[in-house]
Amino acid sequence: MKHIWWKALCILLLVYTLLMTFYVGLNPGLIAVSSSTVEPGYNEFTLVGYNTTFESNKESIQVFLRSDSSFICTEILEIEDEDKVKFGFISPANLPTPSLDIYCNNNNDGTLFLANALFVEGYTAGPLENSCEVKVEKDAQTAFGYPFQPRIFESIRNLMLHVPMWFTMFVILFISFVSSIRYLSKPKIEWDLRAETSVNVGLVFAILGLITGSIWARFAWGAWWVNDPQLNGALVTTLIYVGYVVLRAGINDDMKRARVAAVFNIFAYVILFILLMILPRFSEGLHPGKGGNPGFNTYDLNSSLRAVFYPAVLGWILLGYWIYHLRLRMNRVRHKLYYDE
Amino acid sequence: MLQRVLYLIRHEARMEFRQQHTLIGIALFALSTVYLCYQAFQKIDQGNVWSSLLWIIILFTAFSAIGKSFQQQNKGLRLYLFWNVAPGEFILAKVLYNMLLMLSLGFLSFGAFILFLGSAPFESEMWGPYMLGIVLGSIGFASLLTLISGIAAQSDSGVGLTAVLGIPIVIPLILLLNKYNSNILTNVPFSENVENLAFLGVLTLGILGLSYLLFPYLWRD
Repeated sequence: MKHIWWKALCILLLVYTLLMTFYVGLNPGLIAVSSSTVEPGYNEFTLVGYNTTFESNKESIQVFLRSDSSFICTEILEIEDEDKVKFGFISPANLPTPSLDIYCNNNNDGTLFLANALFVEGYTAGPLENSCEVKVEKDAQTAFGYPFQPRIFESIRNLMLHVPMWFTMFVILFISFVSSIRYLSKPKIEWDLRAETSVNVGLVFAILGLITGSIWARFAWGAWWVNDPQLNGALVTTLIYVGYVVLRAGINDDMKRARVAAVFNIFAYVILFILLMILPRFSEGLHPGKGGNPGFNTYDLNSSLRAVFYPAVLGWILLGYWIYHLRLRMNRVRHKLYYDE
Repeated sequence: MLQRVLYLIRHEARMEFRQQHTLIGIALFALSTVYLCYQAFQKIDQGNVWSSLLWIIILFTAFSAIGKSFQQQNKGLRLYLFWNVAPGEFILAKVLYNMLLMLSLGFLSFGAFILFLGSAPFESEMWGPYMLGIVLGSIGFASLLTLISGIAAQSDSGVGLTAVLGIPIVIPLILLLNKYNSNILTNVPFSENVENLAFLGVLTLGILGLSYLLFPYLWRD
């Protein structure tokens, strides 16, 4: 029973995170507006929201436009349903900037925001006459929900599947690195078995990370593969460890295979560490937190996302270790059988 | 120690010059690849294309030059060296010799490239920093691929393994070099580019240190 508590924890965490990943809803947000050009005179637009409650909060709903730091008020023409509201306004004579942000207020959803949604054609630069007095403040989101991010939308749930794969891979590959060092300092076949098993398990997680990342990239960035330092790093890591597997397959003598593989493993891990830690700092990328810092504080994590994301990371790491542990025991038995024959 | 390293480098060079066909073969490989690029592109005006193509040629030249640096040793010589030379000295000599080899091959490719494909993207003040990039790149390739080819030589499956093991690790290095040299050709100020150079230096030193530490384990056989 002593060894079972972390397995129970692993199952508990994964069940919790998988349920939460797909069950928790997204916070309200604005998706689109019916047209993006503003012509002189009176204009009518339909604003489309997501998970919003326009109809249930008819009294408090308010739509206004922002140009630089001044606001244009609009009138609400019709509330079609919970997600659609029709508003109209007269295009003002002078504007500080030609692009307008749309803000939408109601008591339940708080202040929602759609950046650069409208574009005024043939505008004349100048201060806005009779700027509208509004209070822009974001109400605290009391409901438990994932943040609404433009372009990402519902796929933000993938954070709980994609990112833990890489965390797990790094932990498992670290086991292999340490085992290789221990093998070189004291050549016992046990350390070699550990190194080999953990590389195999780490590779599975790397491939899972590539697949989940590729699907997410298709959705958020529009392509299955993009040029990004993180993606280069992921591909390089995967290829290096595939090389490790190929290297092992090419050597027949047991002791020699263990020694050469350990040397390559240590070399690869240290070089990889230098490259992955420092290289992303030198180029811009599409991943969040880029532009100087590869850390992940700048993911827009809200408290509900954190409450699922951190347990997910721990759960997947435990699962990876569990798989590694099982395979290691299997390989030990296989090795013993092979030598007893 | 320094004396023995120097002696080993001289020995390595003498061996190579005695079998001239390998050296000439690699030089011919570099030249014919450049000529192939000339046939395909005729003339390149865009700085980054020019630079990337040159790096790809140098990369493959490096693989064919260094990939077999551990292959052609005979057993008797190996045993003799094993008893008389420390492994650290041996790998240091190997790396230094490969650096010299790669420097000459790098500049050979560079010269041939200018001869055939023109130096259209260049302005007069770019030559110095650009050549510095080629020097550091050749040194980086040589140090990285020496240990990799030492590892690959231990395998029973032959020369092809150097590429399988080496190319993934070389990708970030070549990205960095390409960025540095493309930056020069697209007029990015040198002060913004110098951090690439510093990183290249740190990486090469790291590789050298690791090679020195790890080679003794490959050496005992």
